[in-house]
Amino acid sequence: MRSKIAAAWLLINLTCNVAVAANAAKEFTADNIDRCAAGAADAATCDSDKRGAIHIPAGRYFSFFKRKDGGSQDIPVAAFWLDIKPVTRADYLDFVRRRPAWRKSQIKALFAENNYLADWADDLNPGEDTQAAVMFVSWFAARAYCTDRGGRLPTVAEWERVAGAVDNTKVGAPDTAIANPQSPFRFAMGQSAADVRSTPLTFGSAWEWTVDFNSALALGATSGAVNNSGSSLFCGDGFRSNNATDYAAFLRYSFRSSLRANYTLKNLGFRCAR
Amino acid sequence: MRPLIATRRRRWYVIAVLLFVVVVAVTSHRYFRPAPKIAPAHSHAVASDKSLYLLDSVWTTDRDKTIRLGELRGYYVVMALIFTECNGVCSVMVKELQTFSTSLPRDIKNQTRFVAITIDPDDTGEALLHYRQEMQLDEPQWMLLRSTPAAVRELAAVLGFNYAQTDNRQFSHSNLLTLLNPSGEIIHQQQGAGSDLRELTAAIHKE
Repeated sequence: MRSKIAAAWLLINLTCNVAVAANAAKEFTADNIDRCAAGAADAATCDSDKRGAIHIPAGRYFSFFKRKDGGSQDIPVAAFWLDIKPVTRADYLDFVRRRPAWRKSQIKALFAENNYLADWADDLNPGEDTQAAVMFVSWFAARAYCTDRGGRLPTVAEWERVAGAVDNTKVGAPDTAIANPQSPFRFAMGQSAADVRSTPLTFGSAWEWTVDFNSALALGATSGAVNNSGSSLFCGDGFRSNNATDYAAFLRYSFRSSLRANYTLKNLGFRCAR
Repeated sequence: MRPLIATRRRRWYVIAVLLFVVVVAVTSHRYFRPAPKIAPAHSHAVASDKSLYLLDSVWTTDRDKTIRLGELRGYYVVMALIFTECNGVCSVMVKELQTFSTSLPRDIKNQTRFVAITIDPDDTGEALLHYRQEMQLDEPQWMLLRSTPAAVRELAAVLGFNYAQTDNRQFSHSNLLTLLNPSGEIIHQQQGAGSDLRELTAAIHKE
């Protein structure tokens, strides 16, 4: 009897301790959000949610598109968590191990093109560099991965707010960093915004999926309808840029608007948000 | 025992009832349109890796019935994304489709479903029902659907239909019509408003 009570006490105590420890870890993370944002903490600390995500404070997204009335769109973006780097092949391998439907040989054509995971040797062999970002993944696959992890893909607004390389502390004209003419694509793949520039967030190795990638009506969108007066036949306005000199944003919006959900491209990866 | 009705009167009674039945049958055949036959599942419907019916999203009709897209299997499906507050091309497109659907020969019409799907999360079942009346989509071939923003975004992504909310209840969006075969594969896409809808019939005939 006594030993049973002791065991129960021990169990309760242990459970409580674990719960307290978990809470402590959460608080620890929350405490460090500001330090991460201020650049005072190292990557390992900011990484403390174990998934490699950091907290992005609420901010503003200066849309590449003008409002219908011609004004510029300055959209508030709520605070969220974002992975510091794109999902790696190793991460993705773990996912397909557990979810056979997303393996290279099992995938349905609706969800991914033929060259899904084209650079993988086979279903469970991602090749040599397992820490490289996973590529040749469709929007469906990216979304399934993030959902499986309890997260989601970031929205265009969230992604651009973080990686659009504009000074989002200012309202008005964006402080667009100057694209390196030698590597416009690399630049367009993302530059951290001023208020997250000191965090370990990394961009520039791949294009990235967003959950609402198909929200842009840029050049190359499906509709080419032109009425007699020569204006575009859209419900609402199609495409008018806030800042025609923001070539990087132009590339991103054009690229996104040309995608389909089952496309799998070299250089197109993803990271998760929540 | 006394019969309830005399034999002679009973005979008259039976004749009167029979006559009545015959008259009703004839008039209803002449004056009321027969209910359209629901075509049997098309023999071409096969399980396909490219079928939209692999999507497991749940949709609600304007009559608040819950369905999955897979229930359209067996029909040719003309799919259009709309929103009921639209004053631009989507209304034109739906109007053109409505005229087109009434002009179809009965055999094609019976194997075809016209599905209008709203991209506006604020469109209620009531709004869709009102839209059905307003646009005169009264034939049973027309189906009006709504779902969650995630399900709509997913379907749009599959179709290559781009859209974004620009203002309260207003959207910028592609002008696009999609035709699915009985297995749920995209077999044809064309510009929505202002295009030649006979391309749809041609695509069905080509199958």
